[in-house]
Amino acid sequence: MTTGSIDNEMYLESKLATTLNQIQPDPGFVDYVYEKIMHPTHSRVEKVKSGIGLITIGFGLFLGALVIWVAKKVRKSRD
Amino acid sequence: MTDTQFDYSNLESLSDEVVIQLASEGNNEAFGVIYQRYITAIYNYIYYRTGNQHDAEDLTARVFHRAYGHISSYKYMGLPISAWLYRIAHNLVANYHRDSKRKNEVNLEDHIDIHAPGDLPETALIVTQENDELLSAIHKLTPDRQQLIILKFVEHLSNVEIAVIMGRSEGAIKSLYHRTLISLKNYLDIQKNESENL
Repeated sequence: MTTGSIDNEMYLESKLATTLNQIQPDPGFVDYVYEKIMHPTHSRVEKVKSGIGLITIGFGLFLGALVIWVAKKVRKSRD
Repeated sequence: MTDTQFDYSNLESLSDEVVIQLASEGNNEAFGVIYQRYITAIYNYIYYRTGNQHDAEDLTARVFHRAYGHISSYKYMGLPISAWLYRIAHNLVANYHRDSKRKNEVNLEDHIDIHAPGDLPETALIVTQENDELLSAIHKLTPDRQQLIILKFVEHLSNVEIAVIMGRSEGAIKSLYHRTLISLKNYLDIQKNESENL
Protein backbone atom coordinates (compact mmCIF):
# COMPACT_ATOMS: atom_id res chain seq x y z
CA MET A 1 0.00 0.00 0.00
CA THR A 2 1.51 3.35 -1.04
CA THR A 3 1.37 6.61 0.93
CA GLY A 4 -0.93 7.98 -1.74
CA SER A 5 -3.42 5.14 -1.40
CA ILE A 6 -3.36 5.47 2.40
CA ASP A 7 -4.06 9.20 2.05
CA ASN A 8 -6.88 8.44 -0.38
CA GLU A 9 -8.34 5.90 2.04
CA MET A 10 -8.12 8.34 4.94
CA TYR A 11 -9.73 11.10 2.88
CA LEU A 12 -12.54 8.77 1.84
CA GLU A 13 -13.07 7.64 5.45
CA SER A 14 -13.27 11.22 6.70
CA LYS A 15 -15.69 12.06 3.88
CA LEU A 16 -17.87 9.08 4.77
CA ALA A 17 -17.79 10.05 8.44
CA THR A 18 -18.98 13.59 7.72
CA THR A 19 -21.53 12.68 5.04
CA LEU A 20 -23.27 9.72 6.68
CA ASN A 21 -25.12 10.87 9.78
CA GLN A 22 -27.59 9.05 11.94
CA ILE A 23 -31.12 10.19 11.17
CA GLN A 24 -33.82 10.20 13.80
CA PRO A 25 -37.06 8.74 12.46
CA ASP A 26 -40.15 10.91 12.74
CA PRO A 27 -41.45 10.46 16.35
CA GLY A 28 -45.01 10.36 15.01
CA PHE A 29 -44.10 7.40 12.79
CA VAL A 30 -42.29 5.63 15.68
CA ASP A 31 -45.31 6.03 17.98
CA TYR A 32 -47.78 5.01 15.27
CA VAL A 33 -45.97 1.73 14.50
CA TYR A 34 -45.48 1.07 18.24
CA GLU A 35 -49.22 1.45 18.81
CA LYS A 36 -50.04 -0.77 15.82
CA ILE A 37 -47.80 -3.52 17.19
CA MET A 38 -48.76 -3.17 20.84
CA HIS A 39 -52.48 -2.70 20.32
CA PRO A 40 -53.46 -4.30 17.03
CA THR A 41 -57.02 -3.60 16.02
CA HIS A 42 -58.86 -6.84 15.56
CA SER A 43 -60.90 -5.95 12.53
CA ARG A 44 -63.17 -8.70 11.36
CA VAL A 45 -63.88 -9.06 7.70
CA GLU A 46 -67.52 -9.85 7.26
CA LYS A 47 -68.14 -12.86 5.08
CA VAL A 48 -69.96 -12.09 1.91
CA LYS A 49 -73.19 -13.99 1.94
CA SER A 50 -73.11 -14.55 -1.80
CA GLY A 51 -76.16 -16.88 -1.82
CA ILE A 52 -78.48 -14.32 -0.24
CA GLY A 53 -77.03 -11.56 -2.42
CA LEU A 54 -77.67 -13.47 -5.62
CA ILE A 55 -81.24 -14.32 -4.58
CA THR A 56 -81.88 -10.63 -3.75
CA ILE A 57 -80.52 -9.47 -7.11
CA GLY A 58 -82.48 -12.16 -8.94
CA PHE A 59 -85.68 -11.26 -7.10
CA GLY A 60 -85.12 -7.58 -7.88
CA LEU A 61 -84.64 -8.27 -11.58
CA PHE A 62 -87.72 -10.52 -11.65
CA LEU A 63 -89.78 -7.86 -9.88
CA GLY A 64 -88.58 -5.18 -12.32
CA ALA A 65 -89.41 -7.38 -15.33
CA LEU A 66 -92.83 -8.15 -13.83
CA VAL A 67 -93.61 -4.45 -13.34
CA ILE A 68 -92.62 -3.68 -16.96
CA TRP A 69 -94.67 -6.62 -18.25
CA VAL A 70 -97.74 -5.56 -16.21
CA ALA A 71 -97.34 -1.96 -17.37
CA LYS A 72 -97.19 -3.09 -21.02
CA LYS A 73 -100.27 -5.29 -20.53
CA VAL A 74 -102.20 -2.39 -18.97
CA ARG A 75 -101.18 -0.04 -21.80
CA LYS A 76 -102.21 -2.66 -24.42
CA SER A 77 -105.59 -3.23 -22.79
CA ARG A 78 -106.25 0.54 -22.75
CA ASP A 79 -105.40 0.78 -26.46
CA MET B 1 -35.19 -18.18 34.23
CA THR B 2 -37.78 -17.59 36.96
CA ASP B 3 -39.98 -14.64 37.85
CA THR B 4 -38.00 -14.01 41.04
CA GLN B 5 -34.75 -13.31 39.18
CA PHE B 6 -35.79 -10.15 37.37
CA ASP B 7 -37.86 -7.09 37.97
CA TYR B 8 -40.26 -7.44 35.07
CA SER B 9 -41.95 -4.15 35.90
CA ASN B 10 -38.91 -2.33 34.51
CA LEU B 11 -38.32 -4.09 31.21
CA GLU B 12 -36.10 -1.32 29.87
CA SER B 13 -33.39 -2.21 32.36
CA LEU B 14 -33.25 -5.87 31.29
CA SER B 15 -30.68 -7.29 28.90
CA ASP B 16 -31.58 -8.15 25.32
CA GLU B 17 -31.40 -11.85 26.14
CA VAL B 18 -34.05 -11.60 28.87
CA VAL B 19 -36.28 -9.26 26.88
CA ILE B 20 -36.12 -11.60 23.86
CA GLN B 21 -37.01 -14.54 26.08
CA LEU B 22 -40.04 -12.68 27.45
CA ALA B 23 -41.10 -11.47 24.02
CA SER B 24 -40.87 -14.98 22.59
CA GLU B 25 -43.13 -16.14 25.42
CA GLY B 26 -45.78 -13.68 24.28
CA ASN B 27 -44.97 -10.63 26.40
CA ASN B 28 -46.02 -7.70 24.20
CA GLU B 29 -44.35 -5.10 26.38
CA ALA B 30 -41.04 -6.94 26.03
CA PHE B 31 -41.34 -6.77 22.26
CA GLY B 32 -42.05 -3.07 22.68
CA VAL B 33 -38.69 -2.70 24.41
CA ILE B 34 -36.93 -4.44 21.51
CA TYR B 35 -38.76 -2.12 19.13
CA GLN B 36 -37.68 1.02 21.04
CA ARG B 37 -34.07 -0.19 21.22
CA TYR B 38 -33.64 -0.94 17.52
CA ILE B 39 -36.11 1.23 15.62
CA THR B 40 -33.56 3.97 14.89
CA ALA B 41 -30.82 1.58 13.75
CA ILE B 42 -33.13 -0.35 11.43
CA TYR B 43 -34.70 2.85 10.11
CA ASN B 44 -31.27 4.28 9.30
CA TYR B 45 -30.16 1.10 7.57
CA ILE B 46 -33.27 1.09 5.38
CA TYR B 47 -33.18 4.84 4.83
CA TYR B 48 -29.63 4.75 3.46
CA ARG B 49 -30.45 1.70 1.34
CA THR B 50 -33.67 3.08 -0.19
CA GLY B 51 -32.90 6.79 -0.21
CA ASN B 52 -36.29 8.14 0.76
CA GLN B 53 -38.21 8.66 3.96
CA HIS B 54 -41.53 7.26 2.81
CA ASP B 55 -40.15 3.87 1.73
CA ALA B 56 -37.86 3.77 4.77
CA GLU B 57 -40.86 4.17 7.07
CA ASP B 58 -42.92 1.62 5.17
CA LEU B 59 -40.17 -1.02 5.17
CA THR B 60 -39.17 -0.32 8.80
CA ALA B 61 -42.77 -0.89 9.90
CA ARG B 62 -42.80 -4.14 7.92
CA VAL B 63 -39.55 -5.32 9.56
CA PHE B 64 -41.03 -4.96 13.02
CA HIS B 65 -44.39 -6.44 12.05
CA ARG B 66 -42.59 -9.44 10.60
CA ALA B 67 -40.35 -9.73 13.65
CA TYR B 68 -43.40 -9.51 15.91
CA GLY B 69 -45.07 -12.29 13.94
CA HIS B 70 -42.06 -14.59 14.27
CA ILE B 71 -40.71 -13.70 17.70
CA SER B 72 -42.38 -16.75 19.28
CA SER B 73 -40.20 -19.04 17.17
CA TYR B 74 -37.01 -16.99 17.66
CA LYS B 75 -34.33 -18.97 19.46
CA TYR B 76 -31.66 -16.95 21.25
CA MET B 77 -28.30 -18.47 20.21
CA GLY B 78 -26.03 -15.79 21.62
CA LEU B 79 -26.26 -13.56 18.55
CA PRO B 80 -27.63 -10.05 19.03
CA ILE B 81 -31.23 -9.67 17.98
CA SER B 82 -30.12 -6.78 15.79
CA ALA B 83 -28.49 -9.38 13.49
CA TRP B 84 -31.92 -10.96 12.99
CA LEU B 85 -33.63 -7.60 12.49
CA TYR B 86 -30.97 -6.49 10.00
CA ARG B 87 -31.44 -9.75 8.10
CA ILE B 88 -35.19 -9.16 7.84
CA ALA B 89 -34.49 -5.57 6.74
CA HIS B 90 -31.88 -6.74 4.23
CA ASN B 91 -34.37 -9.18 2.64
CA LEU B 92 -37.15 -6.60 2.49
CA VAL B 93 -34.84 -4.01 0.91
CA ALA B 94 -33.70 -6.61 -1.64
CA ASN B 95 -37.35 -7.33 -2.52
CA TYR B 96 -38.02 -3.60 -2.71
CA HIS B 97 -35.22 -3.05 -5.22
CA ARG B 98 -36.15 -6.12 -7.24
CA ASP B 99 -39.88 -5.37 -7.38
CA SER B 100 -39.93 -1.65 -7.94
CA LYS B 101 -36.58 -1.09 -9.64
CA ARG B 102 -36.44 2.29 -7.96
CA LYS B 103 -32.72 2.16 -7.41
CA ASN B 104 -32.21 5.39 -9.28
CA GLU B 105 -34.85 7.34 -7.42
CA VAL B 106 -32.55 8.16 -4.52
CA ASN B 107 -32.92 11.51 -2.90
CA LEU B 108 -30.69 11.21 0.12
CA GLU B 109 -29.45 14.77 0.26
CA ASP B 110 -32.75 15.93 1.81
CA HIS B 111 -31.78 14.69 5.26
CA ILE B 112 -28.04 14.93 5.33
CA ASP B 113 -25.99 17.68 6.91
CA ILE B 114 -24.53 19.04 3.73
CA HIS B 115 -22.86 22.18 4.98
CA ALA B 116 -22.20 24.21 8.05
CA PRO B 117 -24.59 27.13 8.59
CA GLY B 118 -21.80 29.68 8.07
CA ASP B 119 -20.70 28.30 4.69
CA LEU B 120 -20.83 30.56 1.68
CA PRO B 121 -23.44 29.47 -0.91
CA GLU B 122 -20.70 28.60 -3.43
CA THR B 123 -18.87 26.46 -0.87
CA ALA B 124 -22.13 24.81 0.17
CA LEU B 125 -22.91 23.97 -3.46
CA ILE B 126 -19.54 22.28 -3.95
CA VAL B 127 -19.98 20.32 -0.69
CA THR B 128 -23.49 19.26 -1.77
CA GLN B 129 -22.21 18.04 -5.13
CA GLU B 130 -19.42 16.09 -3.45
CA ASN B 131 -21.88 14.51 -1.02
CA ASP B 132 -24.27 13.62 -3.83
CA GLU B 133 -21.44 11.96 -5.72
CA LEU B 134 -20.40 10.01 -2.67
CA LEU B 135 -23.96 8.85 -1.94
CA SER B 136 -24.45 7.92 -5.57
CA ALA B 137 -21.22 5.89 -5.47
CA ILE B 138 -22.35 4.14 -2.26
CA HIS B 139 -25.55 3.06 -4.00
CA LYS B 140 -23.49 1.40 -6.72
CA LEU B 141 -21.85 -0.91 -4.18
CA THR B 142 -23.14 -4.42 -3.61
CA PRO B 143 -25.75 -4.76 -0.80
CA ASP B 144 -23.28 -6.31 1.68
CA ARG B 145 -20.78 -3.49 1.07
CA GLN B 146 -23.51 -0.88 1.54
CA GLN B 147 -24.48 -2.61 4.78
CA LEU B 148 -20.89 -2.53 5.98
CA ILE B 149 -20.57 1.19 5.25
CA ILE B 150 -23.86 1.98 7.01
CA LEU B 151 -23.02 -0.09 10.09
CA LYS B 152 -19.56 1.45 10.31
CA PHE B 153 -20.31 5.11 9.62
CA VAL B 154 -23.94 5.56 10.62
CA GLU B 155 -24.14 3.15 13.55
CA HIS B 156 -20.45 3.49 14.48
CA LEU B 157 -20.10 -0.24 15.13
CA SER B 158 -16.73 -1.95 15.50
CA ASN B 159 -15.49 -4.58 13.05
CA VAL B 160 -16.26 -7.26 15.65
CA GLU B 161 -19.87 -6.09 16.04
CA ILE B 162 -20.30 -5.82 12.27
CA ALA B 163 -18.86 -9.31 11.86
CA VAL B 164 -21.46 -10.73 14.28
CA ILE B 165 -24.33 -8.95 12.53
CA MET B 166 -23.19 -9.93 9.04
CA GLY B 167 -22.31 -13.49 10.06
CA ARG B 168 -18.65 -13.26 9.06
CA SER B 169 -15.28 -13.28 10.78
CA GLU B 170 -13.59 -10.08 11.86
CA GLY B 171 -10.85 -10.71 9.30
CA ALA B 172 -13.41 -11.08 6.54
CA ILE B 173 -14.98 -7.75 7.53
CA LYS B 174 -11.58 -6.00 7.49
CA SER B 175 -10.90 -7.41 4.04
CA LEU B 176 -14.39 -6.51 2.79
CA TYR B 177 -13.97 -2.99 4.16
CA HIS B 178 -10.70 -2.51 2.35
CA ARG B 179 -12.21 -3.76 -0.94
CA THR B 180 -15.25 -1.53 -0.37
CA LEU B 181 -13.09 1.59 -0.08
CA ILE B 182 -11.26 0.67 -3.29
CA SER B 183 -14.57 0.15 -5.13
CA LEU B 184 -15.92 3.41 -3.76
CA LYS B 185 -12.81 5.25 -4.90
CA ASN B 186 -13.14 3.69 -8.37
CA TYR B 187 -16.80 4.68 -8.67
CA LEU B 188 -15.96 8.23 -7.59
CA ASP B 189 -13.17 8.43 -10.17
CA ILE B 190 -15.51 7.18 -12.91
CA GLN B 191 -18.15 9.74 -11.90
CA LYS B 192 -15.53 12.48 -11.85
CA ASN B 193 -14.31 11.56 -15.36
CA GLU B 194 -17.88 11.41 -16.66
CA SER B 195 -18.71 14.86 -15.28
CA GLU B 196 -15.47 16.30 -16.71
CA ASN B 197 -16.31 14.91 -20.16
CA LEU B 198 -19.75 16.52 -20.16
